[in-house]
Amino acid sequence: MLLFLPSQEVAISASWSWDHWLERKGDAMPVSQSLDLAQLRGELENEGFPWQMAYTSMTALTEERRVLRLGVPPTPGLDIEHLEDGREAAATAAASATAASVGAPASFDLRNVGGVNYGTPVRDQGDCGSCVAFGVVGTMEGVGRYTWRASTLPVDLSEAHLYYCHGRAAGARCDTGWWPDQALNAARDTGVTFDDYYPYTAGDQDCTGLNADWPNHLAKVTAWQYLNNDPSGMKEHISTYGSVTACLDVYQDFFSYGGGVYRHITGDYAGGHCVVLIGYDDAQSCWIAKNSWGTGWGQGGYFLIAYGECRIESYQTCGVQGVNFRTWWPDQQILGLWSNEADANTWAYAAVRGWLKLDGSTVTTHQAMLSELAAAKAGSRQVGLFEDNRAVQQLYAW
Amino acid sequence: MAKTRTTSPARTTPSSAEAPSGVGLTEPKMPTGEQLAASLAQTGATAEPTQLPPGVEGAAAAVADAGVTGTWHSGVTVTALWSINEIRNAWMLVPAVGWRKLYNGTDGAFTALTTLASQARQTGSSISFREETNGMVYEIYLW
Repeated sequence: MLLFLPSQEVAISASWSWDHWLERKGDAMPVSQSLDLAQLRGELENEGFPWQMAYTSMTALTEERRVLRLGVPPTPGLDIEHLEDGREAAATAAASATAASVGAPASFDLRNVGGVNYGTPVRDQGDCGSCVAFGVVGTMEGVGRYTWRASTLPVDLSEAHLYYCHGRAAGARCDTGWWPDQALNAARDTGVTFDDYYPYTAGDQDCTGLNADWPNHLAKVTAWQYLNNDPSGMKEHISTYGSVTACLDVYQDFFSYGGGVYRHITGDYAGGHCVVLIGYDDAQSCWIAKNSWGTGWGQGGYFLIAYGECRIESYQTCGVQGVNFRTWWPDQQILGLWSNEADANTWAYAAVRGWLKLDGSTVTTHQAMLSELAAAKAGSRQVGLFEDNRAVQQLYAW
Repeated sequence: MAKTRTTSPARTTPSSAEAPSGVGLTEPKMPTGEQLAASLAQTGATAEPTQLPPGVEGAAAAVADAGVTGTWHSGVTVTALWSINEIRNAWMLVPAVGWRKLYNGTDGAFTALTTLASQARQTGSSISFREETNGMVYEIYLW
């Protein structure tokens, strides 16, 4: 059995697999016949209805269109017939790796942290195997809002930039899928622009839709790490940074998920998929995840999945440790100013963005920025701030 | 102990005799480069604000920087300012606290802290500030 690979081994194998996967693009995965929903209902009834089935945005599609959305290649060297061999062991491991053992809360949900919702809206990837872009961008948005404690930060990032530019350069197309670790490297090294600079539409593109000014309207991952086979680390990471990117094996019954804690009950293997884990609940032994199939699937686009199911902890799991921005934040109200005994260490609190350092290269420049912001604050007037890596480089005070 | 002005503010500038006590009017000593570097390494240069503006989610849970000493005064206002023709010598008056001298170690920090204190005086906005055992104000939040 080759179910639990060390993180390093997964990374190496994935690299090999990616080239191999691209070579055989087009004849990749056989598509099964659609699952008989009466059969699913019967199987769920036999199991005491552990989760609810529903007519979803996915059940309305043909099986070919459903499978097209599953954009994570199979784990190299892993026999699909034996994907579930380690299911019980994985569930036990994840349940025993309690959040309390790493000092994390017993449950966490990015949509309700002390009454504050740091989540971003559910998206729809459409007819393209771009789930990796949605899983990574969704994680960046969640981490960006949560780590900066900025629940209304307008951080709608471009899945199109990540998939049709960075992914395309790596050989990814709608019918090949991609790997989260490769996408995260691109998001860290080059960055991802905002959605208004390259709005997402489903279907292969050559990156010509990207706004030329994208380097000035950008989010970058500061660092990321593998969390494969580390459920306690996943819980610690989610509760610290807000989100984690994870992959799972999708079986046909998943397309009809409408609520409850998902476990694979029936149906054939359909493919690999990438999502965002935004929480967990040790009491229910499940992860809380955001999917990219629109709000017409699952619980408004979200789902709960039992610990150990579908290799959710081991397929490929990546934690983002921070997101930095280089962009204009318009229409900001200055709510606070701060300085201490160090030279050129003055900060302004912008209502939506939070604390930003004034980035004057000299004391005089610092003082000019501080004076202008203080004037705007005194008059309760808005400012526009150009941020690069948490430092204000330019501002308008109206 | 610094004293507060109780007489009518007929004069625009306090005399030397009215200057906040506890400090001489002589020119402050400039720190050496080594002293400054040591000071910056210990505190200040890498520090950043940790408190949140009143009314912002999580503000009640905000705490002072770990490892920072000194005494915090929160939710106070500035009702007077004072300065004199000496290098980096400016004070602010806080009701129920008294006159406090603004940190005078460097031009940049001194100017920034003076700007914040002046804005607080002009707008009536509340501040939170940290004073150290030498009686000087090292850190100001202007809300």
